[in-house]
Amino acid sequence: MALSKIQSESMNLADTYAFTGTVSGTPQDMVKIYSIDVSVAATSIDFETLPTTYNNFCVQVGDFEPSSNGAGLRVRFKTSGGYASGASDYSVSRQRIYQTGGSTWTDSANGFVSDGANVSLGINSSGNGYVEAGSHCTVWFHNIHSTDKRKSYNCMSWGGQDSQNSSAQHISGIFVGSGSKDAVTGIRFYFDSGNIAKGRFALYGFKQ
Amino acid sequence: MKKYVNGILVDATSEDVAQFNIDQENAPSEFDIVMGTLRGKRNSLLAQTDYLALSDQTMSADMTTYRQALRDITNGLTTVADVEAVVFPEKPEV
Repeated sequence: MALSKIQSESMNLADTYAFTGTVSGTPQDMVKIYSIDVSVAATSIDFETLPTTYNNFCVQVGDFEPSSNGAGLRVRFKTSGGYASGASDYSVSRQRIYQTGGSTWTDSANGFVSDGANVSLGINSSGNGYVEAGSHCTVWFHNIHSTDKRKSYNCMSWGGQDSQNSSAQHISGIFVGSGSKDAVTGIRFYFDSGNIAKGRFALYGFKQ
Repeated sequence: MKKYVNGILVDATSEDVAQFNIDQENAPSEFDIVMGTLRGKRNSLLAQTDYLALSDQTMSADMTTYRQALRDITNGLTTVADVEAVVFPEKPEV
């Protein structure tokens, strides 16, 4: 069968080859599950079908921008009671290294301004930071389906942070935290102020 | 209001809208953000000379003045422009 015909019509094993067996295979160690290129401003990006084949997930976020400057990217988990937004639902430890004015700075927590009812990914902007930086981040989520382990997540990011030099800032952060031990049924990305105007969000599942 | 669920654009639920409105009210202001960054830098600079405050060290008058200036650096700041105009004091020779 010509490759072009397979590509256009797919290949039906039963009809074409009278195949009656069972097609089986081992899931790949890492697969892309969803990919979204935001074309309409939205309040959030939610991933709510998390295959149990994978207990660990990774979300790659590229060129994201809020509807208005000065917003920070956040994450919440959905458990049996909906997206958790209580003050004690998340525990976040943050450390960042960044450069401004020719100097390198490190700090923990300061500058991230998290109210505790979400996971702050440590990216904020003022001025034109997001657009200039081409902000992006990669977030790993672990033990998502487990009911006997706390969830953990960590993130590396690049993005506009402050306007002290009227330019984009380089931020690298590592975030470790734990919420409840309940299984997570959804992961939500949102800005703490306004909508998500742009961005590419891709969810990957992976085994360990 | 809209949201994306598993890549599909759908209407936000009433619960989503209610949470969105709560988040808007709690969002940090740009002033909060730049002040947080300023405090982080100030704390980092103070930490660099903390060892001089140990009991077996003698802190010079210049260093005492420098460290006090760092502690006071957020005084009187009320706007983003105020924060952006801050100039850190020069660290004296140890």
